[in-house]
Amino acid sequence: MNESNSRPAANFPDSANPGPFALTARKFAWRYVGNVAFWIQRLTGVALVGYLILHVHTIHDLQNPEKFDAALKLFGTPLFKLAEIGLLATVILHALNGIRLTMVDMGVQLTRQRQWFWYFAIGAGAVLFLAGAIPMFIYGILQHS
Amino acid sequence: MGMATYRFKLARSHSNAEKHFTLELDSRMTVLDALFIIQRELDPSLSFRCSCRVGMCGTCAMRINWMPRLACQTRVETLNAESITIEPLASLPVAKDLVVDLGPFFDKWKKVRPALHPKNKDSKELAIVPPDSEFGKQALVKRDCITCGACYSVCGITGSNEAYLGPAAINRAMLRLLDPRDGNVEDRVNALNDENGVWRCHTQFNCVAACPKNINLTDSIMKMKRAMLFPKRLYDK
Repeated sequence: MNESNSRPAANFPDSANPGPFALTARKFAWRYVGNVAFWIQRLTGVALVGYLILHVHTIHDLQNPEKFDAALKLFGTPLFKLAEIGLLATVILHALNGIRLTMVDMGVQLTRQRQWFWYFAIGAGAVLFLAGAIPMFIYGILQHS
Repeated sequence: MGMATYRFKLARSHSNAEKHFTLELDSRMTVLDALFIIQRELDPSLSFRCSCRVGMCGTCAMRINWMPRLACQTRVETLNAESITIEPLASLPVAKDLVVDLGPFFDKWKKVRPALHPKNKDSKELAIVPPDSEFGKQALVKRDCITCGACYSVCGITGSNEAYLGPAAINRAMLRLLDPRDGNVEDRVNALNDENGVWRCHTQFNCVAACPKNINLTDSIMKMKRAMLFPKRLYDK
């Protein structure tokens, strides 16, 4: 830095400078929550498309019973059960945020869309997720291994 | 209140121009005050734009710590940061340093025919707009747009599709379409019902977050989306 372009010399401790990442994170904390919701909707949507392709591919293997049984056996392993829990989270987020977006499109509670994202899509979504994920974890992974 | 030291990092057009400045400012001072100090005392070549200094002209809109804000309305202490980064508005061509060319923004603005096109040009009677009518209610909270370009620059859709009308133009079109005095429905409906009109909005709400006048622009866009399903109704006002 050119000191001739400074008025009084400054002496900052490093911790006083939040840095670009922290500042950018603040930007999205509450005010830009619509943008966060937008990206969550897109990413979960793409993930669900990937799941649907896998799902249709497995159903397609119904024509061959041996291959189908092998696929079902693979899907019963703890790794796939864990992925199933991830799928549950993806479906819940996509569905609840989708309801919020439908309300926005209809002009219902539009001015409270931030609250609907945090309390409905994230808050109620977390409760639903735990209600589904805990039994899935106990019966699908712990008892299996 | 009191004096505090702030580090400024400014976007400059010329690579050789100084970007870093350290200033001691009163916490009540605004970013615009800081820019004037830099220009007058440290680097006269710095370019930025301002006019009214009271937040009613929208000329000094720029990205301050990554968010579009009015420099004249942003007090340095409210940024809660000792490092302040100032850049020109995004999605618009930079003329010099912090000055952007608002041409693309106003091109969209013109597309919706923003001026009043009266139904009856020769009428001498004053129009009565009841405050509880739809136009009265919407105009009360949405007519304050100062065309600063903050919503346009922060919109994720204008960032990826230059042809999109943008929130400010759609908001203005909505006010004109609801206005019972206005007679030019067709041009505005054609602009809004276009592939680059209201249907491009993906409800990111960035425009609402950035608007310095707190206008709920997404609400206007959603209203127009619903209106475009039955555009003939707009003619019966």
